[in-house]
Amino acid sequence: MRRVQIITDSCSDLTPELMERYGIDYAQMNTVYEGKTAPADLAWANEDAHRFYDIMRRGGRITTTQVPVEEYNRVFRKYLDDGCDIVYIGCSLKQSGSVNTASVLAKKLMQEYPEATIHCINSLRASIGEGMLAIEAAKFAANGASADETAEYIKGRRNEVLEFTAVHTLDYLKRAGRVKASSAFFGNLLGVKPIVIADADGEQAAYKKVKGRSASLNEIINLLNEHIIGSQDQTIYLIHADCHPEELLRVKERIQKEIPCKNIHVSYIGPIIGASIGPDAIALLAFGDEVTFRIGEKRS
Amino acid sequence: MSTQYIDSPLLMKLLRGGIDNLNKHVDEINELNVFPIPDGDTGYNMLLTMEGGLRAVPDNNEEIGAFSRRVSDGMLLAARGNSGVILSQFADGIAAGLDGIKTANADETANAFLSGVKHAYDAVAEPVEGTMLTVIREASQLAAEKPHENIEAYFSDFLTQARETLRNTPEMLDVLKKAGVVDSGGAGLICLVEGAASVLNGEAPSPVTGSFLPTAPNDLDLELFNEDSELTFGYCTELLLRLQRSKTDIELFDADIIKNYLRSVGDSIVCFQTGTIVKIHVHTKTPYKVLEFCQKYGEYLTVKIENMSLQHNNLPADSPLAEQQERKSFAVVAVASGEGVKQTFREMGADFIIEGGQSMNPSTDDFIEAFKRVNADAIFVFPNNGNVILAAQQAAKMYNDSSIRVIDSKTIGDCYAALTMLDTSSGNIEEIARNMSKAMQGVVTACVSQCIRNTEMDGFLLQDGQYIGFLGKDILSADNDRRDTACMLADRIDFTDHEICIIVRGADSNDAEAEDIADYIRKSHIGCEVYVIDGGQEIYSYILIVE
Repeated sequence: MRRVQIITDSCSDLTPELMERYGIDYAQMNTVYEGKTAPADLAWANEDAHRFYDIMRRGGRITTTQVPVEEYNRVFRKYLDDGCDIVYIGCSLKQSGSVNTASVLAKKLMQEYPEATIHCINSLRASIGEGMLAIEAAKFAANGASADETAEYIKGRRNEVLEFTAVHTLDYLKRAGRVKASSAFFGNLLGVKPIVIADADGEQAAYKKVKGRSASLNEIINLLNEHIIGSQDQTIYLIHADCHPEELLRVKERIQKEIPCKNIHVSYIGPIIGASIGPDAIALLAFGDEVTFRIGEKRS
Repeated sequence: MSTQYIDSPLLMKLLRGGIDNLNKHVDEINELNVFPIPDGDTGYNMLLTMEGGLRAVPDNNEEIGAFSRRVSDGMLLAARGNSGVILSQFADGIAAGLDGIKTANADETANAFLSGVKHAYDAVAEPVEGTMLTVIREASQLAAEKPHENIEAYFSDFLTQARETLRNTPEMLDVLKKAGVVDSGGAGLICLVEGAASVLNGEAPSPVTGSFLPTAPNDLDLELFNEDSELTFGYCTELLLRLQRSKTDIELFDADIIKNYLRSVGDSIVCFQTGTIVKIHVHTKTPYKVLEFCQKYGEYLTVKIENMSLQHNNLPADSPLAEQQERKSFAVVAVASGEGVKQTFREMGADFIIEGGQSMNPSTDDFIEAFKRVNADAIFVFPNNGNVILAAQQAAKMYNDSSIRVIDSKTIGDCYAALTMLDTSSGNIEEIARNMSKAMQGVVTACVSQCIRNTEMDGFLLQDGQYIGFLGKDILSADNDRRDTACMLADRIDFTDHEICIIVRGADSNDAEAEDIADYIRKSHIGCEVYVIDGGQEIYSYILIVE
């Protein structure tokens, strides 16, 4: 029985601790600021997260690049040489083309390593929603599942990952071309705080308009409470783009009060997702009702 | 004089007499504003509503029942403002009372007036006493109590009671008492009846012409008149002239002097006098001559001169002459003034803006035209003023081609809050309307404007020219400095549970000052998001929307 290695990418927003605990590795994407390329390091080893988001607050434009083929080549080979099979769980194809790049390389590598299996899975999610699937995959594989079984299992769970994000503005997402929004979200909507969710196709979709920051924070908690399943056995992920500690505490306390759960994980949104979503975004993620909403379809 | 009955030729004369008298007093009625700022327009509203009635009857050779029906139908369409809508419903009831009658004697007239009162009350969801409603009710009831020998006697009794009731309106309505004025609509009604009575007493009415309707500025395509173009259409020239005592004897001034001159330099002439203001409209190739001539009698309040080659070829989307749009599922019609405000609403999803607001109430017909233009299955209407809601509702009742929801928006702030939450993706009319109504709840809209008379209100000794900050009918701040008035106004607003403040700055203020006020509010309300919009509206230096 070959060992199964779970690999994800810089979009997964997994902290080094989580990756270590579940034995997950990741392929790095890059950020570009003022012409300088830097690896998107989820450990924030060479960049202070607060400073990073401050650049954006001051109007600095940070762009991102896909995982380069060489990076996949480096990470994949590392585990293939160790005799592992690979399940790579990548960012939603609606957000990044990385999974396609990985798939092309995987075909080539499987010729070179005929005994190895490599699965490249479009997670339909981004950020720690992608990371949560990687964790689930790691746990599943650790119980003795093969790469094929793990891949099948994860594909079936993608739309159970709920993501509710409160942003100050859609401007960053729009500029990055990473949000789908109806005409309701056009125009000068001062004070309106859009709620963004990951839809059934993996789009980041402007889902709902809420007036004011406090109301939008309440709304993501309410939405999570409404759709989460088996909360008491779950970790709820509270991730943020450099929000004020007091604000985070308020949200955390309300979740503790209203949604019984095993644990609330709080961490930063990493540089890739952060550059697209903008400072002060805040998101709640957990497993729950299957997501069926598709942007552009009338709601039932 | 003893008139036994009214037939349609006489009714026509009575209407003309009433309109003429109202026209003479229109400024005074506008100034019976409960607020000491220049946004009162009851006089205009009633005048324009009456003119609509007169336009509907080019001839007068039918029975009085049919004739008065046509008058009231014309008034229904032209109705603007609460006073106009109530007046149109009063006329509607009178027409119902005269139905099938060839001529009306004093008793029949009295009964028709009672029927008018009933219709007027039915038109208002929550009738308020101390307004025109009370004036027409008490006067009609008292005058109907005894038989009259002739029409003159009926009108005389009607007027005696109407004047008495009008005097009492401040006792019935606190806002009037506070402002020290009588009800403007009631006063307007008395002008109408007095004018009619004077015709009965042998005074000939003078003709009424023209209209106070301003025309909306167009988005002009300057390429339509190039280096090689010839001036074929001339300039559309519109002037508002205030007669000056230093230049002319106002009492003896006759607008015909100007009208005759205009004939020598152009065509499409409208020229009439209201109080000390002369409204001038002419199409001419030499507008400078008009400007030079008219300035001999006064100074200009406004001057608008547009090359008609541009006007003729380029109509804005909101123009009544623009093409009808393709049928859509949902549309939004909103009333607004100020280029920035209108543009903001358009960006937020308003399909059609009706020019207007507190000092220019759109008519029922304006709404119906807008409904036709947007051509949608469902139309959401934002009147944005308490004085416009009735006309919008009247239009909604009369229009059958769309399902219309009049949203109960009383301020620009209400509309702003509702439109930011506009989302038609549910496809459900009720849900969409409910969500927008919900978004308006708790929204505070306060304004800064300039005071136009010395008065005492809410404990403030106000002076002409001072700035005042007010919320609803309550004055919250007053100062000679515009910025300070706005800041003190903000201080008086309860920001609890509010975290967004939009400052809509008016045409008379500037960006730097608005930003300064925004900073002040940011500092005094930590966590509150404050934004400035260049609204460009007249009258209100600032509109603060707190939500």
